[in-house]
Amino acid sequence: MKALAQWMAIALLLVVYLAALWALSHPNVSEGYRAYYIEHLTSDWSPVRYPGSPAQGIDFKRPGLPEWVGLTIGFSTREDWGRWTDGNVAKIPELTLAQPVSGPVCLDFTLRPAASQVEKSFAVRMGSETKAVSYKTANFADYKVPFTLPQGVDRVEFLLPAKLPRQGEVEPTSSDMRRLGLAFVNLRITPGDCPVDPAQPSGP
Amino acid sequence: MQREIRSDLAVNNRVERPTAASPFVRNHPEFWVAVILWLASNLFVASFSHFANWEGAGTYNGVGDLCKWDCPWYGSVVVNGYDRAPHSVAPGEANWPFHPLFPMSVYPIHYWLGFPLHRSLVLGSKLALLLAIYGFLLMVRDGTESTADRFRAGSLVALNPYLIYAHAGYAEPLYFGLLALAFYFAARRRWIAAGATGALVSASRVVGVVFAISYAVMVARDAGWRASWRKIRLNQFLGFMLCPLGTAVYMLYLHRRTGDALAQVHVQVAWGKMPGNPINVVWQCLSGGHWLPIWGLMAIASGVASIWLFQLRKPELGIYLALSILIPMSAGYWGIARYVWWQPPFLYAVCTALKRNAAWWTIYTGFTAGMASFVIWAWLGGRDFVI
Repeated sequence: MKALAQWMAIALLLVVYLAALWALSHPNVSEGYRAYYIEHLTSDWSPVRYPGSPAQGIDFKRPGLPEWVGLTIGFSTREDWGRWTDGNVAKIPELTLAQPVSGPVCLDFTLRPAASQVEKSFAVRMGSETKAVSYKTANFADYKVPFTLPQGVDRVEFLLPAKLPRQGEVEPTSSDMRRLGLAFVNLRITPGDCPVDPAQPSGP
Repeated sequence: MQREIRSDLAVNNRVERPTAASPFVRNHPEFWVAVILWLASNLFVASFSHFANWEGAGTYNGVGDLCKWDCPWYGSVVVNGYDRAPHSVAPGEANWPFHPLFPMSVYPIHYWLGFPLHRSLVLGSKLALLLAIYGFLLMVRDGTESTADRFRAGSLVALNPYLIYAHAGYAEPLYFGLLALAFYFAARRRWIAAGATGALVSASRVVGVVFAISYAVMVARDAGWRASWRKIRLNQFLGFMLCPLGTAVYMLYLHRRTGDALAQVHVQVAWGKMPGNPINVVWQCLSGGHWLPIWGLMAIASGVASIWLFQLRKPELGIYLALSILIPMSAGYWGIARYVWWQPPFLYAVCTALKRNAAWWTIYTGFTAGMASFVIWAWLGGRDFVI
């Protein structure tokens, strides 16, 4: 009788543990929660929202995010001049869009590379299109990258070298542990082709 | 020579002399030792809190003023239950890391006895301190033959250098007391009692679930290490199955409440804690300034104690101590002192070391008393190094 009671207790406990395992593998959370708390891909939690459209763009100096940006992934926290991408947060920094965009667009952004990246290049991916970009200067500069986007796309990704050095490795006096990539000031997505600029990158 | 023998006999007679106390007290000498030490601990904290108040370190008008830092978080669980979602303001904190057993123990003090919230939380932790002292005395019972031994061993808990956590509405004394009892029951082969107590431990702090590993080690040792599964008795297996129950039930509750069964771990990011390499954290401490190297040395001391416990043939304590320090340290160095000094295996190692080198008791007591009083002063002053 005692053994039977013990076996029943063990069976009951097994059910509890199986249920806990199921709960563990089936989180029922928002995309923002997953990115911030579980995957640690974003440093923004519940940011203040301000009105705006892709054509009006995002001002990285401004606290919060415009309504058209769903999430930032791989960005460090805001500073007075804008925001760095940080390889510690995510290897591929990206902006997810609240609504997909399609058709010819011009991705227009102002940035400067981290000291370790000046001699290198990066690429921008929207959907199936990837465009390589060479830095114009080590300082802040404006870049315009055209995309055709025959199908709707809901994210803009910035492809940087796989292993960015920590800032402390680049500047031994720095205690900054971030893996800095691009310093963004602003970014906007305007419909139509980009204005002609001879310094712009070539496809595909 | 004859005089010395007589003197020893006199000492022994003094130890064994029957008392007029009740049979319970006679049969449980640990209990009244725990009560006296508990009173002393309360007197110590009240005295130094008043001194700190007089000298302007902070405000102390009653025990409720000791409820600081994590204490109000436990209070939010008592009053509002667990948050459904993180706070909307960055960095998105929530009260999920504060495991349910301690707030549940405070509930009757606040709602049934009618004490104000902060005072209830502090009283809850103070009452749990009595359990912690008593549990530890049971845990070290085999090494404490005399009343003086018991007082010395119990003082390691009652006059802990970080004793403030037992008087400030934290879960530490409850966790400590239950864990000490769980080890005591398992050492006496009371497997189901050990498992049930382990279940409570896992509901008191996140690392409490590690007791399941220590339990398995004790069962394996009991069965002769190389034993097959068939040598493991049903009650031993049931006890093992009970150990993580508190964690599992809390995970199920959090999944229902928030959608995330591991919310208590994931929300740590809001306090800047993310999983990393604990060795890096120790190195960070050792290469830092002020309190950081001291915390680093405490972490190293716990590692040394862990290895020594293995040498003392107490692998269940050694493995628990190692894991229970490595897990929180992988997320950063804040709270290391609390994690180290409120672990029964660590104080067991300290107790054993001091028993072997009795002369060190005075030095140890001097340092711990100084530290305990300084921490009380810093606590009332709102210094963040005592979080």
